[in-house]
Amino acid sequence: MNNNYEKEIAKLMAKMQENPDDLDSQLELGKLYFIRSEFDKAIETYRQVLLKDAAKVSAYYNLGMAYQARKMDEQAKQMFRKVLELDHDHKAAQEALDKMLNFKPGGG
Amino acid sequence: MEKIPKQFVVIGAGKFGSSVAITLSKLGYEVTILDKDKEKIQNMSSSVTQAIQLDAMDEKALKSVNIEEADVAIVSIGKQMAASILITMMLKEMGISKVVTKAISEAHGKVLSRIGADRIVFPEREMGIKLANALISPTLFDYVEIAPGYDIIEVNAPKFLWEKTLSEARVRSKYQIEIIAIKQTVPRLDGSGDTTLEEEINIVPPADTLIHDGDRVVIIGAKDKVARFREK
Repeated sequence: MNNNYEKEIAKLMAKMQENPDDLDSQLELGKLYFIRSEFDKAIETYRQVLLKDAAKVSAYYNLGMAYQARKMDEQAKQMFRKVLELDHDHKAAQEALDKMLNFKPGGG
Repeated sequence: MEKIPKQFVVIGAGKFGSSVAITLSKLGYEVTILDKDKEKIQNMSSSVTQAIQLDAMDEKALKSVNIEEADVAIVSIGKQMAASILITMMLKEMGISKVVTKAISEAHGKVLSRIGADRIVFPEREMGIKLANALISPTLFDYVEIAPGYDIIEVNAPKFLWEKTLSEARVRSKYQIEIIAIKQTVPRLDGSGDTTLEEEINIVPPADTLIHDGDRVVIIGAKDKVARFREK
């Protein structure tokens, strides 16, 4: 299982080396780090994406998840709010934020 | 580990606000309650640390009572949506790290979630849900008093349990409490390929179950034993 991950990581890094502007591959790399619980690496990877594209909604969302996994709750909430600023209809970000705030919409 | 709050400020001395304030005060915490109604404040004065009559919408007045040191602020302003939103914002700007606000509608809750409220509560709805579940079947919540003097609570696994198995932790012999469930958060990808954190629950976990930083444990025991465990 680990070997597959290592191969995937190597593949994505090769793609990024070939094309440094391939932000989608960089995002995928961040996600791989995330599911391996390497949250600090995931955070750094998403931050790099945002340095190149400050409006990348999926980077903010996944960065929020990584912050949440690292118990950096304030930063996580900020990221989900940023997603909603850029995309009012982002259901997953709204749900993630609501959950963190213990807010269960649908019965207020 | 999250600091246990000791100082609370409650804005609004209505049914909800006064209940929260009195309960916290009885548990030994420092509580300041604010309300613009003189009679409500007079009624509260013997039950909390400080009961102050002022209009919390008045930013100058709010700042004059030195509530910046509070660990938690609870905003419980009846049906005045705009007031609760404004007060929530002011409290966050004052630097209070945790602001809990009562919401009266879903729309109200959505605005509060976007302007910085740390937690949003619907007291009547939440009580209604608890009652409905209690009526149809016994259900485990984050806090249940199962009998006078005995609690079941759900807490973050304390540091001294991290990377230990249940048998290594020996909580039964050390604290006379029992861990009856462990909730773990697992990083995954969701259906759309984005990351998500899924909760897995292990009920009556076996003795060789390892506890990690970030896990939540559900424990049962006498109130004083549970409190002693939590203080560790």
